[in-house]
Amino acid sequence: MRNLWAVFRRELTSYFISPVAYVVIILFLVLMGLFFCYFLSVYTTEYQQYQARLSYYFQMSSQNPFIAQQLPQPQAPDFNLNVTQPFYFWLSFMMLFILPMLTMRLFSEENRSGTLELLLTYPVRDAEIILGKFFACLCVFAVVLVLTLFFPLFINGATEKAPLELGPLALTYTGALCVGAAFIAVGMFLSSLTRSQIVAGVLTFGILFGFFFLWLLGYAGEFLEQYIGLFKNKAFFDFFRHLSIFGHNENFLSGLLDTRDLLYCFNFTLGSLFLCWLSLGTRKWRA
Amino acid sequence: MIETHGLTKYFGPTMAIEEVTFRVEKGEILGFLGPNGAGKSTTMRILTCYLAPTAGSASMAGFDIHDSPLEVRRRIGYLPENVPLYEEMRVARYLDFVAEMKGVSSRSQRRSRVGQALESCGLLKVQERIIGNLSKGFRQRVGLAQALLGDPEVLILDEPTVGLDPQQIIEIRNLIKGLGGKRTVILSTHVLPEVEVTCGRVVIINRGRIVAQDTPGNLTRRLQGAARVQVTVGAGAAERAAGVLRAVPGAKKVKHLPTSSEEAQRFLVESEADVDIRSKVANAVVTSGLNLLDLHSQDLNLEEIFIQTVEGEEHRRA
Repeated sequence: MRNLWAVFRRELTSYFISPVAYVVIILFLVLMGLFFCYFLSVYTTEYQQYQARLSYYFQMSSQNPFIAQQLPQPQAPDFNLNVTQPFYFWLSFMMLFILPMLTMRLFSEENRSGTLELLLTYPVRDAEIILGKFFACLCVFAVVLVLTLFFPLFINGATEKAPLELGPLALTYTGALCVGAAFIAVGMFLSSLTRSQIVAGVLTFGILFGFFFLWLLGYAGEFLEQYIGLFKNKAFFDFFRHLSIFGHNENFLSGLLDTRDLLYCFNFTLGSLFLCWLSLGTRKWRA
Repeated sequence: MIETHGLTKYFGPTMAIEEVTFRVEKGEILGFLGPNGAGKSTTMRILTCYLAPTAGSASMAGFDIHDSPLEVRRRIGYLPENVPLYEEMRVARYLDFVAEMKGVSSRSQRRSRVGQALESCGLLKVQERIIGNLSKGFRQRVGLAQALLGDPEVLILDEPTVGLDPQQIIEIRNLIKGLGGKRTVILSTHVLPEVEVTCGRVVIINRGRIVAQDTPGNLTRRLQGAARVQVTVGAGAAERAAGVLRAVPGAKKVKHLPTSSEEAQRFLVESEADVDIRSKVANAVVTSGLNLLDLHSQDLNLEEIFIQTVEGEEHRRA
């Protein structure tokens, strides 16, 4: 336990000594800021249109109550549906690019420089090293996530029209952290396989993107069914969606807590960490 | 303290070491000598539980490297070949991390241990410097300091003096010599004088096999066959001088060595291996009226022994 803590502290400081953490944080926040502005501007336009329709509605109804009964009352566009949810969907999508940058160095760098050899000859269990590194990386990611809280808080402070919904927001962040943990574990495993950071990073991105693609495939089914009427076999496409980690993130985004999603992320993380442990353990017998 | 039995390691089809068997007693400094690629590092990596042997076994202080690697690792300090260190860390902070990894849990205890290590390796002045900016000599010392932390019974040092300047080499050697007695040390090198200076016992390894193991003195004696004395006398009658030397009781062979100057004549007198004929030679020269300029016994140095054993081994295999 103590060794885990030591590895964790060293890894965390090394993130913040090197430019890695700062680059990742700044890049992520700038991109998320762009997304946020975009969704907000779209929402503003829609809201203006809604106001115009509303005033028209009241004008009509004051002139002729009979017509007013026929007209549907305009509905205000939902802030969560139009800004919060797409924003956090893109946040989870951007994790695809950001997390490999954080994980790629974890083992490959130590492998290349030879410090891994020294680390593994200290009286420390492999699992302690793996978990220490994992939590350090997760911690950096958590810092990134906490910083993105700026966006909902900003809106909450700026207007009363979009009140902060604490429950769904908390769930969204829980989801992001769970999915992030799974991504980190995969990245760490791949990093333990190679001496090259670049290879580890690209490989991680590739595999994570593969999961994203699976999810898209699931959606393709829905799209075909809805618009073309082809493919009545929903289960076939649902299979892909459930297979992909992004499919499980959907529920978190929409404010739904499902133990299946939690369990999926947990197993995914644990499985990847286990693979990483195997890859470290078998180095003894490999060349 | 350390015992290996028939250690063999294959990397795929390539044999790295084969049937390496040796013992190191407590407090001994063992030199691991061999050309590059002989299998020194592989053996050390097996002893530190970084690699597993394909066959054979090894134990340290009674703990088997396979069954209880954590216990073994708790007892060793290891300095790998190229001194891998965390470049971005500061020296003192790095050593603090290592101490924590080696199980020194309390903060105050860690501080004093790190302080000791810094002092014994002469690192006090650079303790706040970033490791990546240190010179090779200091890096080597940081590596040695991290090996010493946690007070290990066994030190395994892979080429500890490689890449250092002569002054630094002497310092590091003295440091290692100072460790003997209290700790068991295995050090590998392909620099021969190092072994002669620091080690109590030598294992010569070539192409993955042990070809000889003994004290440097014994190795010399065993391979030499004859004791040799080199004599330099004043210029003049070379024939007479040779005759005088041949007449010395115990002298078996006298060889006239070519010299660069005309002022002196050099001879090599060989005798039985365990007979010291120096005083007899001196007497004979002086009484015959020749000028004795220099007289010393000439041992085979380790370099020659090494070449002889390695060549002999190659020959036998061929």
